[in-house]
Amino acid sequence: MGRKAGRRAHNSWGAAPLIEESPVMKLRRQMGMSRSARERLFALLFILPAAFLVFSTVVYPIFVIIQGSFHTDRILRLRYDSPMTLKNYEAFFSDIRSARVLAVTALYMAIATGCAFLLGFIFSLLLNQRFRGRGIARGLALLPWVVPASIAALLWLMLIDAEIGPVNALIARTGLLPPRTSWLVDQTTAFAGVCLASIWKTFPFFTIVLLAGLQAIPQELYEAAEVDGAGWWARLRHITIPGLRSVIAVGFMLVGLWTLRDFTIIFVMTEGGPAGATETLGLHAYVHAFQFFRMGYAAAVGVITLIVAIGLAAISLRLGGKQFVG
Amino acid sequence: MLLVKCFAVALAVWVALTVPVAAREIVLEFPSWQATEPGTMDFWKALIGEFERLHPGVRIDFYPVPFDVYVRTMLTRFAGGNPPDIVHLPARDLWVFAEWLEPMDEELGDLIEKWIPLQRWCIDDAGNTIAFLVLGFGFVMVYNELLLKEAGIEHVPTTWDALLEAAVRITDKDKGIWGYAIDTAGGTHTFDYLIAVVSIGLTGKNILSDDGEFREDVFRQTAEYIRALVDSGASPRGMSRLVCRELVVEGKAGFYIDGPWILAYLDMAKPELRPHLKLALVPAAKEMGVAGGVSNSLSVPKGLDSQKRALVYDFIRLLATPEWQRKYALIAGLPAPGGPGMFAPGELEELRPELAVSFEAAALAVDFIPLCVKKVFPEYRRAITEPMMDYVLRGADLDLVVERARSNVAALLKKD
Repeated sequence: MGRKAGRRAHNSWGAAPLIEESPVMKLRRQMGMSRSARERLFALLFILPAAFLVFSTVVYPIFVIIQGSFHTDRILRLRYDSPMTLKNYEAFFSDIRSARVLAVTALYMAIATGCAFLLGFIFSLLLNQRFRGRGIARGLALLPWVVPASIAALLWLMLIDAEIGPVNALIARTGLLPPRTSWLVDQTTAFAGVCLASIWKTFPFFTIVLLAGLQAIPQELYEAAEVDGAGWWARLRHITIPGLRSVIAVGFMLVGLWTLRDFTIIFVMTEGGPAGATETLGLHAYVHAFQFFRMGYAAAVGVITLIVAIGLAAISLRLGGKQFVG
Repeated sequence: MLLVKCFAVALAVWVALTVPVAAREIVLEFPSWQATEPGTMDFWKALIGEFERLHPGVRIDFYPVPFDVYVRTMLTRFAGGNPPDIVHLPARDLWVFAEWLEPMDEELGDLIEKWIPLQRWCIDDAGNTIAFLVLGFGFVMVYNELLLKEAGIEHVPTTWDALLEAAVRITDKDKGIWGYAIDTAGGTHTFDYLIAVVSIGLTGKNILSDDGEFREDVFRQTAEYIRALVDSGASPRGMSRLVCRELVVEGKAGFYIDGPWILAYLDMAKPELRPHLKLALVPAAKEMGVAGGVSNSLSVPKGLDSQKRALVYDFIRLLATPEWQRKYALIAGLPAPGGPGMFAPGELEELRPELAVSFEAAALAVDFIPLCVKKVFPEYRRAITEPMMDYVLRGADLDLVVERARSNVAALLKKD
């Protein structure tokens, strides 16, 4: 505790004390602090750098965006001469296009998240079985998640290309679409294209978390159920899904938030087109910020997106129940 | 301690070597998306070399910023109080930066008066000129001479109906040959060039007048023509503008309309194909005019120190000299605003025939951005192209589409 072996200091009488007082000990003595107060102080000092980082890179920029959303300036500023106004929010909620943007966003989130969950769940059930090469199969299943979003978007542009795309050719054989369909020209197929890319990119996340959740379910429960004559479907409904409830809630929350803010895949594939068919809140904000230079309005869209994200997280936490909250 | 001493010595040596050089040299910062574009890059480098030769002790730091993030990058710099010394901007986006740009009339008044008429685009609301136009242009038509010959087409079409007919005759889907390359995929800029060219080519007018009148007849005629072109099957669907250009360069498209900068792309074609990729005026150019406008400009940021300010204006004056305007045309392959007068009669056709077409198109140019929406052009573009795409690509009812376009434009004009 601050003792330095072999070194002695002298007090005013010239006599050496038994223990040399370190600067920290001296500070403590001078401040007259209790032990718990000193511990709190040191804890605060340790947290300060991280807190400063969070404040400067997260809290302050959010403040700038919120402040900017109440001004109609074409660019964001640190100080405004104009008074605050709700015009940007009024413009958003009074524009018919905004309703479509919200609908596209909700549909995209629902389809991309739901399908990614289903696919991830199926893969997790399969990868939870014992078979030769399981390790390799698990690695391969994770590959889409590792691929950068921009590359994934370019890849899917090639896969659905009217002339050379194998996905296009495959679907044409089923008769669902005519051959040589230009996906990006039609609003429905363009939307389907971005959904496919997003599902492919995000299902590995569900695979990982659900696989981890499956392995946490005690095997005895399945054995007991088998003994009682429960079939596969009954075991799934009464053991697997309840056991994965909190994991599913977390997964839905995270993937839902990712698809809510997804920008790269949509921008690279369609830029929000054709005619706004794939324009989500993120694209809407981008177009207004960097193409139309109406940054005040774009900031308002950003704030609305933030509120939606907070609402989504709150709902997920509630649905996750006590198991999730811990 | 020895380590500290060594470090101090090294630092002192470094300072001694670099600071005197830095103190002597003035560096003008010049970011540009054209720093990596073939043609224009070569021109700027040549101009910079000459400027540095005339101004010893001055260096221009010319470096690339990709075009798709250029305006955003410049905006961040201006908003952060750190603008470049030589401000190179896409002229359409000038208005975003207007508050930070210095009026140039006092320094360049004499030049501005003699410059091309499109220079008027660079005047702000207070009547000050805030940019000096580097390029004004008219759209041109690229055609593949070989494909025309194969299809038995003897002359380049000079009417819009003849163009449509020729495009259909050239198309051979089995061989991957298309009569016309149209961009039908992408965001808000999808086929805006084509809309502009066809509307002015067919009627001599924009869909929206300079004072905000929506011309329904122009919209209808333009929509019907483009739809006929798309429905004819002469163009593959779902292509972006970049893919269209690739199709042309690979010799798989009979016709394509773009700005004069398409020359730099054509120069990337295979040597055996290149001589057969030629430029012509768009149909009905001489009767109706050619859609065109401003491309890019140079400006001076407010608050630049006096020495750098004087040097930047010297740079612009050097650019505007007949000698360098001539070089701009020959090196960059673009119609210099100084006009074709700096070439002797017949000289331009001999040196670079396509340039003569570009100059002629620029001279016939009708600005395709109506004055009333010049500050909100991207929004105007979306207001028109989205309804038109619905009609052309998805068979929406034309009457409904016209009304939608009209109300979009009305809402936009009301917003500002």
